[in-house]
Amino acid sequence: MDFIGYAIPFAGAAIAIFLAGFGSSVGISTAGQAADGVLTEDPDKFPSLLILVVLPGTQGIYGLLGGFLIMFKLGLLGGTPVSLNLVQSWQIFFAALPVGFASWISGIHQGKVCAAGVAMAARRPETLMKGVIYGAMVETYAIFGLITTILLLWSIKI
Amino acid sequence: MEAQWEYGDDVGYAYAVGRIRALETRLLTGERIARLAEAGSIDEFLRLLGETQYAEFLSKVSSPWEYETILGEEMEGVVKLMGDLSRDPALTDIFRLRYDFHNLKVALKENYGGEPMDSAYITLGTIPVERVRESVREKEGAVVLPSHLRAALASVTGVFPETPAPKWIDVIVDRAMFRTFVSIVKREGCPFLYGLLQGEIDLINILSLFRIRWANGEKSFFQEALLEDGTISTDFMSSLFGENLDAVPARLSHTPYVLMVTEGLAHLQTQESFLLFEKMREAFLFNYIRRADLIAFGIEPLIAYLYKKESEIRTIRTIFVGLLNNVPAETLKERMSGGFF
Amino acid sequence: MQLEVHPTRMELLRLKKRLVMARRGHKLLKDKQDELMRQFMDLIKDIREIRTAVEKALEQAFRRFLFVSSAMSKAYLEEAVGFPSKTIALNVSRRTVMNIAVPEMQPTVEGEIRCYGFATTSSELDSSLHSLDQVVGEMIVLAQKEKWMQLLGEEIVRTRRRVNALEYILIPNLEETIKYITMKLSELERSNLSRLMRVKEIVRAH
Repeated sequence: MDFIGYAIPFAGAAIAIFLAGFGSSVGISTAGQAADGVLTEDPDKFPSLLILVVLPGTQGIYGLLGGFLIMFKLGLLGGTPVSLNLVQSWQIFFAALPVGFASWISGIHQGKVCAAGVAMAARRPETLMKGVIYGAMVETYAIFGLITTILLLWSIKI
Repeated sequence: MEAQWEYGDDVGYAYAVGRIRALETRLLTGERIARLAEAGSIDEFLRLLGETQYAEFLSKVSSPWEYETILGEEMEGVVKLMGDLSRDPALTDIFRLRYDFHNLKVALKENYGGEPMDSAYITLGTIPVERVRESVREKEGAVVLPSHLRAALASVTGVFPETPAPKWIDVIVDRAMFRTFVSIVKREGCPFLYGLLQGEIDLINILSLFRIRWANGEKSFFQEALLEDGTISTDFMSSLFGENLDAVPARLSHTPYVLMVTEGLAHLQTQESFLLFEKMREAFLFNYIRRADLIAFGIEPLIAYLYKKESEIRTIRTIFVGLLNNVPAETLKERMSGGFF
Repeated sequence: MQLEVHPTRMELLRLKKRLVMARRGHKLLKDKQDELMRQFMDLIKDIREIRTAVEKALEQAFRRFLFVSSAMSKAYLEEAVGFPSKTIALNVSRRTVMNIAVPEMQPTVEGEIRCYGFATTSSELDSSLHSLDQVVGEMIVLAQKEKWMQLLGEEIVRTRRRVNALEYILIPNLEETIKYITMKLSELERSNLSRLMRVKEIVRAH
């Protein structure tokens, strides 16, 4: 029962990266479409709207980070691969879930907030930063997910 | 598929709403409209208008008297934009169906009245003008019309084998039109548009009451002219007809229209003018339309934009007409609708 | 200018009769002219009042209509009023006033002014058409009175021409001719007398 392979931790890492990436891409697509709408009529707004469009992209990065941390934990990135028992495998798997799910759902919703922010900034350019702040509030929960994942991985004894 | 009966939450509208919000920044502000109204001369007005998005159309006409061309093209652009941006064509088509019903009325009046009215047709409808015209001319041809228009046509030709009084053509077709709109909105499930239609129906019914009473019209005509599906039932409305006009505002005190009715009636009685009624009607609808500002994804901002644009076009037409006929700036400003900008 | 007549006694009698006739005619025509003038002045006062009222009402109606045409697009407005249901038939008969045939206009109004529905028309169209509708009756009265005034004016001019012709041409001419004939006749008489006297003298000398 010493070494059962990395299938379960890999599944965890894959879920974290996949879910977060999915959330981010949906979020960016929503915000991006809204920005496209504005830019159709007013191309000069591109630089200021860019920040709102890329904001939902951070979730993907968190998921990627979570995935890398798992690989690091397994010793796949430099160092020697560790051996895991079944319990440890599942621990790593579940530790990967917070960042995955938090990023997935917050990414989609952040996209909506940012799209609304784009619409607001189109009308009143001076409110751009307010839109960014509201978007960043959604970001908080993706960060919480990432922190939880990091702490959980940290606490797993191998 | 069962329609979702809810306010817009379709992220597919992100692009459309973004574009509408950008376009809304180009709507004329109240300040700018006040400046236009104070232009004093038509040349100065055209110069000021040249600084707005209407500049594009100004170059196409040779004389300010052709203002209807400028405004018509602008409206056409807006209706086309709606079609491009909409993901619920059934709903946005409502705003083109209006023109179908309008053309049907013109064709009927042309047919019964005998006078050609070529310039009264509007080409923005969903079906070609010629087809409407032909269907009315040869009654068998009516099969080529969509069912809602066919029904409206049948109820006019069915009720009136002889030449009907022209007002009946309008009343019957208008009623058919609103019935069609409401059924489409109910089928598609759009509470925003449903509320808007109900508001419009209520306002039209209330104004009809005062208009018919003011002209000493008959109750039977009022009952026929009443549109169904408003928030105020037609029974209640027709019960108001026998009331003393001064008592009507009190009877409507449970509705959101009480302010409009009170002030509009006072203005009507002192000035013999419906101006305040019209202004407050527009303000009421505009207040409703403003709800769409809170909706980030959905068809609502599109509809709201269309209304705002229509109002803007009306305002510019007023200034054109006023300046071309030497109306003093004060009178002109008095007419600018208060609530809209 | 005297008339070309033979200075005979018959002619003198005829002319004297004509003079009396002309004087009487002149007096009658003068009276008629005065009466026409009086009526004309009354009519003018009347017309001025109606005209001011009509012009004011029309201006107001047009102003109202102007704003209706700004609240509704041209196509919608045309649809609303393109098939009118009110007809006004004007029945014109003739009446004789002071020997002048004047027209009498009797409008027959049918149908009602509202020829459109409510949903797509501005309520201001109602009030604008109402004010136009009200002014139509007065416009017909005004048209009738102005025609009267025109006919009366023509009659006054004609009468005055006659009065003047009598007063400044016919009567002086007659008077002059009468005077001429009288003088001519007395001249003849005198020459006759002197001839007789001469004859008498010649006879006496023998």
